[in-house]
Amino acid sequence: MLKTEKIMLKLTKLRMILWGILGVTIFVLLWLKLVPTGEITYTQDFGGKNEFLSKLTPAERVKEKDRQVMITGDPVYFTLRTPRPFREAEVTFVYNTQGENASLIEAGILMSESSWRYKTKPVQNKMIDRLSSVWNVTREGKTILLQKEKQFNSIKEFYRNLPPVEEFALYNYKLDQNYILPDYRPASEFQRFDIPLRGGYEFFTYLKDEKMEFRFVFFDINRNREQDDFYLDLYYNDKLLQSKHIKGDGISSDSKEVNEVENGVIDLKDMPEGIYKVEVRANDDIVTKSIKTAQKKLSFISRLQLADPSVLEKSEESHYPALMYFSGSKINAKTIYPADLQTIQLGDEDAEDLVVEETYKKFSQNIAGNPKKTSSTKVLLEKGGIILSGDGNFAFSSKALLEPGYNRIKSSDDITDELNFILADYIPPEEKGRWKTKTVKFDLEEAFAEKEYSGGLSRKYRFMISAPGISKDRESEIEINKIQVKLKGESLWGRLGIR
Amino acid sequence: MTKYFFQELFYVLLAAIIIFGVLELLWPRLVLAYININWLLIGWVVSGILEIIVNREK
Repeated sequence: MLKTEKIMLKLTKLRMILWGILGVTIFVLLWLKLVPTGEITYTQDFGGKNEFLSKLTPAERVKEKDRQVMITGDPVYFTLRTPRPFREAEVTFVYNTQGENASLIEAGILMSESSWRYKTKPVQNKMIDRLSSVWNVTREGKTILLQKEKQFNSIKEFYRNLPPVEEFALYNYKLDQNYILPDYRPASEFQRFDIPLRGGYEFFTYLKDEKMEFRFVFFDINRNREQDDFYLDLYYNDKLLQSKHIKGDGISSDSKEVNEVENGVIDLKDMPEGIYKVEVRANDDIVTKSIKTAQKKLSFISRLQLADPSVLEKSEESHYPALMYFSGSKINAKTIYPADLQTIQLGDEDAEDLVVEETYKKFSQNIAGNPKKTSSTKVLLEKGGIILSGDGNFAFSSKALLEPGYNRIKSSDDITDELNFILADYIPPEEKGRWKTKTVKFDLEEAFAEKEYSGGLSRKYRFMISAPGISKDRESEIEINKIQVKLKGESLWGRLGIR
Repeated sequence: MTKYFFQELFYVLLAAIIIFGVLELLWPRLVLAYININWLLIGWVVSGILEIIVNREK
């Protein structure tokens, strides 16, 4: 009897231990899912599988070596999966640069999937780092004012006595002053742009003592299996003034049926002078057949996708060859259609052309003599079906081109002889041994979050590491030792109202 | 005691597989992000086999 009792006692203990282990495991898993403290950290050290922080992609722009990753092309991307929604992500990069061309490194988070827009923040700007050791430095918090010769004792004083535009440049800094075009006169007649554009895009326009009027003709081409509702947004000083929801044709299959949908209209009076931004937040099933406007300026910001004419069955007339204007110093082009491979003529006859000779590959060309974006470059396209991007803006006429804003420090070419001041929100990376460390904060609530499963708590965010000077040919690389993400959000006690 | 150990282990691992399966259905990647279910399945099968062997011997 005693022996049986002993066995039963041992058995009870064994049961308690085994079931206890299972209970603790489930508790820990639920804790890691719900993160009751509101804070959790994930680390990608490139050693093994990581469910939360992906490896860097695309594979052809990275090289793995002994638990370290070398970035050999620009840009590279990674994704972050969060177990539940969070408010903020502090992303820490432990890295090292090799070669002289890795002068600018920025990290970005995807803000809009339709327009593929990333909000970038500085990781390292070697131009500012170098000038900081030579020029006079005034630092107030994270804002830094560099002066070739000291004229101002504080940033406030600089603000009050702003020097001429050509004498100063900004980096990661928004000057709280409206950008005014001094000699602007409104257009006397309507302009119509008939080159079809595919998917989402953003453009700047300018208004002074005139009515704002845009009429967009949209088509739904049903190439993808998704609902094609989209938005037409208008911003002034980075604030959303109005957002119009436009319904697709209701077909969510890939039937390739082409249907005209509701026209987009912006019609506003008595608006203050200044630069306005219009964004068409649409997927690639939406094609803008034409834009008619009363405005003189219509300048596409950094990227636009010219539709292949064949996607619009009803389009009889050919708009190609088409002439565009570009305000930047580096232009990129990519196509996914073999029939749209082409040579894009840039500028005058003696300038180097941009040859798009392979599909699904981005080709780039530097435009000499335009580092300050003071002039425009002609871009002559033989065919459509091409995605144009670059460090400037695009327009269909030279008069419509608008490069608002101030000089920016993005490459060593931006540091000109006339430049006397640089104002930046920038803190250089910390150096520990051979590694540099920089933490960048991102607001997750304003970023584009993909819900992996409907009704699920998980979110997926897309990040980018951009280093425009990096390429295999230029023998510059960024060695990444570790990427760490600290997520901050509401705690369980905060949600329950317990302090 | 060995007999009971494998028997209990078998039941606990079975319960773990079922619970983890349900959790994965409710919140995908909750379990798989941290635990390799393959090892759990192997452990469950092995504990079942050992339980049969030990019981047969006794």
